[in-house]
Amino acid sequence: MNNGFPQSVEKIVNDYLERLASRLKGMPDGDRRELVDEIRSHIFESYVNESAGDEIERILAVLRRLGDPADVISSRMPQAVTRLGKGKRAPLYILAGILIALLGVPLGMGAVALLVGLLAGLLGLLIAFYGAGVSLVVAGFLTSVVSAITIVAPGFIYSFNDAIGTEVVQFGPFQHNPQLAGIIGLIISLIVIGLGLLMLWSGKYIWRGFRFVIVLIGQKVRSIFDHWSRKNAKPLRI
Amino acid sequence: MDVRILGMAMYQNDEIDNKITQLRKGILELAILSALHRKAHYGYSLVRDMAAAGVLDLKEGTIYPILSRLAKEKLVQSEWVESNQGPPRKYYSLTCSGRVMCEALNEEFRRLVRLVDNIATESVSIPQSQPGKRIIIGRQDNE
Repeated sequence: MNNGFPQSVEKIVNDYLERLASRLKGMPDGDRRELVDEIRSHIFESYVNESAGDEIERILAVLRRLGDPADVISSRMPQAVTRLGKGKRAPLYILAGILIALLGVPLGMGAVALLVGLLAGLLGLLIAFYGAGVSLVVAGFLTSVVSAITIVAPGFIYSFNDAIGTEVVQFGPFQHNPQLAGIIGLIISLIVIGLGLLMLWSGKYIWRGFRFVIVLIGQKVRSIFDHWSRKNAKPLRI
Repeated sequence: MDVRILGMAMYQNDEIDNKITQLRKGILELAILSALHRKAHYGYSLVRDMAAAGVLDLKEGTIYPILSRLAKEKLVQSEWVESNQGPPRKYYSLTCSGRVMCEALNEEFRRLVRLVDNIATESVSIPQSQPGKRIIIGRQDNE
């Protein structure tokens, strides 16, 4: 079909229209032909009105203004085709896909395992820390009770020994002065209670750290998800 | 942390491009409807008409997907007309519902432009009314 283009220009135009048509596979034949005719008509009008330069320069300027075939068909075709239609990047996408499949998945698994391990470790630390704190408080409390009894009634502790039959309670160097032993025991046990309470109180910082790590992970996951879904949604809008 | 900040900056750029594209395409659709409201056009004359009016610098080919979508939505109709030079031209004109849609969109667009203008001028006037704050911030930086 000759539309008045010089021969060399006609070749360039046909090449462009062929590239356009090849992107339109899947479109009904009639629609495809009509669109190609319409674009050819556009190129002709534009070419006739282009005055600067020789024939080749004119047609190249016209096609540059018209844009890539992908611009002309975007939003006509399903999203995947349009994306691939953007051309040169397609091999990059495929390469990236292969790389992700080969490296990303195992690395991703590793990262997830690392995260789970980190969380479990922190959780364990938290439990152990609180456990130690609580047991210090309980032990300190019991010791202080015993110490107090020793101070008030040293004989009661000895009667305990007698009842069992062996010397469960011994005062070591304070054999002859159980009340001094009771006072020292009371002081030590109060210190132990204090230590336990200090641990429980300072535990909130570990707890905060734990929460911080969880929130951080949550944010990251959300941002990745947002970014991903936005990227996927982009071609759908026009 | 550096990686996070870098990621955000890249993400923002992407986001700005995306927003500008969306904004342009929305307005381009309205510009096409408005041009067709005045008179029927074929593709090239539509582009030239809009370029003369100073509409957005973009690839001419992008009008065709929009025209085909408008046709699918029955807002425009088309017919082939023989040309006395070269191939026939495909003329587009608004349908009845296209005309109604164009007028409604234009009205809404003007309302939105006024709204955005008002908001923009208000937000600009706030930092001007508190010049003292900037000086204090500058001094703290020097210390």
